Amino acid sequence: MTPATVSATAPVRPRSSSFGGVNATFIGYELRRRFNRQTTIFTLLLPAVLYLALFRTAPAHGTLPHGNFAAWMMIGLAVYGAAMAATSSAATISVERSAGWMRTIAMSPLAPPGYLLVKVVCSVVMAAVPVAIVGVLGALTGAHTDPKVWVTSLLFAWLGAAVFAALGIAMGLIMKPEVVMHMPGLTMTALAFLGNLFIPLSGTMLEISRYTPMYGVSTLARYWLTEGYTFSGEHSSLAGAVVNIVAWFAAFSFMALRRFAKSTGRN
Amino acid sequence: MMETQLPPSAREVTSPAAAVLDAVVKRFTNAKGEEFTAVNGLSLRIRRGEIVAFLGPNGAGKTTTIDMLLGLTRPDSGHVELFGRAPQQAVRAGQVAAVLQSGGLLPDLTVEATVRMLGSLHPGADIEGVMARAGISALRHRRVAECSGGEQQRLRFAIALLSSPDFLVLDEPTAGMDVVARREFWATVREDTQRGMTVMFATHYMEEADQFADRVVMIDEGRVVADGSASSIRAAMTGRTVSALISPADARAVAASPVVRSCVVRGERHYFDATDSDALLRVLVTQTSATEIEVAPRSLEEAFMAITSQGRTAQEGPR
Repeated sequence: MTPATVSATAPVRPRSSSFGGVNATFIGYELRRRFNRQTTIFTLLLPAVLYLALFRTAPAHGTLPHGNFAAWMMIGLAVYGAAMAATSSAATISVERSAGWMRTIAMSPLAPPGYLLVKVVCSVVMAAVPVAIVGVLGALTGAHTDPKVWVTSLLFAWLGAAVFAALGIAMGLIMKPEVVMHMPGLTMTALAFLGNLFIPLSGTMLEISRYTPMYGVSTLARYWLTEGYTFSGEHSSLAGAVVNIVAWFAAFSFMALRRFAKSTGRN
Repeated sequence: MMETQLPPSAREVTSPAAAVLDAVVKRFTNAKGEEFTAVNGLSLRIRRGEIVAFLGPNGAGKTTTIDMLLGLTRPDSGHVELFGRAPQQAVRAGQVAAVLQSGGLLPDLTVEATVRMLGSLHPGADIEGVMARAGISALRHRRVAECSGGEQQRLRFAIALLSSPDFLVLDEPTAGMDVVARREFWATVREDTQRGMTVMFATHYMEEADQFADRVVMIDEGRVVADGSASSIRAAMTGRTVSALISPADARAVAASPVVRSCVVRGERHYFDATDSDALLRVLVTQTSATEIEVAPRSLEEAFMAITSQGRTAQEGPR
């Protein structure tokens, strides 16, 4: 860190660092921008409604080692809700990019790592809300599992949002504002089906699922409930889930950083 | 290139320059894959406390130069420095602030939320103070999307003041404003910059350069074509226009004089474009029956037309 520079006419300048300028007021305004009607419906109501529609749709055969189907569905929808909340940054970023806000930020003490940190912090804060809502609904509607599973599953569902926070940033930087409004929601819902979140998958669909972005987080979040087994008896390893998470997180972060580096220029 | 700079005062010589651009080049590739040079070896030094107008037609490279000055765009070659450091450092430290041409604001935020949000990035910023100085305190609850162009520009100005900058850069700050809004905006800026702030503003309004700047830098096709005080540029580049009521025979005789560059008739008056207006006056008074003689400096606009077209002919000549 460089020492503060004192010039002849100005007071002491703030220190500059890669996260310089990040503060609670800025994050507060950022969060207020994120919690608009659109994101509230998608991130808070949709997971709750889907849970209530799906928690009784258990397959005829197969049991879980440490709980019931409602718990399985609750975790899946917690992952889904957290991912939806995390990618809601896409809309704000897209608007910021088309309005030239990036240039205003480039003229401020907030350096690119700090800007991205604010986006990720807001995504993670927002992701906690649907996880809590689905968790409370689960408890009220008879989701049953061990206390340890409650904690680990909801915690991983929430933290897994970081993967989708990176995806949201990348989407926001790539897409135009008029397109981006519904894209994160649609993409996340499609990925949730593919990632074994809503309907227990088996056979070929499960094999495909293993390579999709939500598979890793959902498998990890449910691991202590299922010990890695699906209702049809197929096993998924913890290592496979972790590799999936790391790979997709790296891919989305790379996409986001690459696009971000290009976004401050005028051309 | 024409160098008509006024001699800098002793203080300005001893203090480092606010901004230095040295042989800066920036090329862009358009959609068809053709390369064009937006800024072509531009060199410029801005001393502390100067108010510089950066004048040029659309596409002359003004905005690209400002983007490079502020570290928003990296030059292909050449060197840029603000207060002796890299542009981005000086900008992030709040030493240099800018009012950019358009955009840069979030339409869904209110005026006050915008200032407070960005103000939080500058520890100790006087939020109420900058809103009052920019004259937007009464607009605080209005959404940015509902603000007029002039009001948005005042908001950008307030944002630029947040860091109490030493050097303020304005990129065509009054583009698209009506005359009243333009006058009010400049009154605000002038009031605020009398504390020794260095200011550089891009414009294509000649009267803004004339009224507000103490130095005018003209650029065309990505290079500096003239640099000096507004009045010295006018004098050096164009001389003066002498007009009079005069008989056609006398006018022909006077027009043949070596101090007259051209002669046109508008209405009843003959207008002589003179390199030495004093010599021409003596001729008119002593040797002709000319009456109602007027001497006027050319407008900056005319000067600019003359300079840029001369520059182009000179450049195209050797090709």
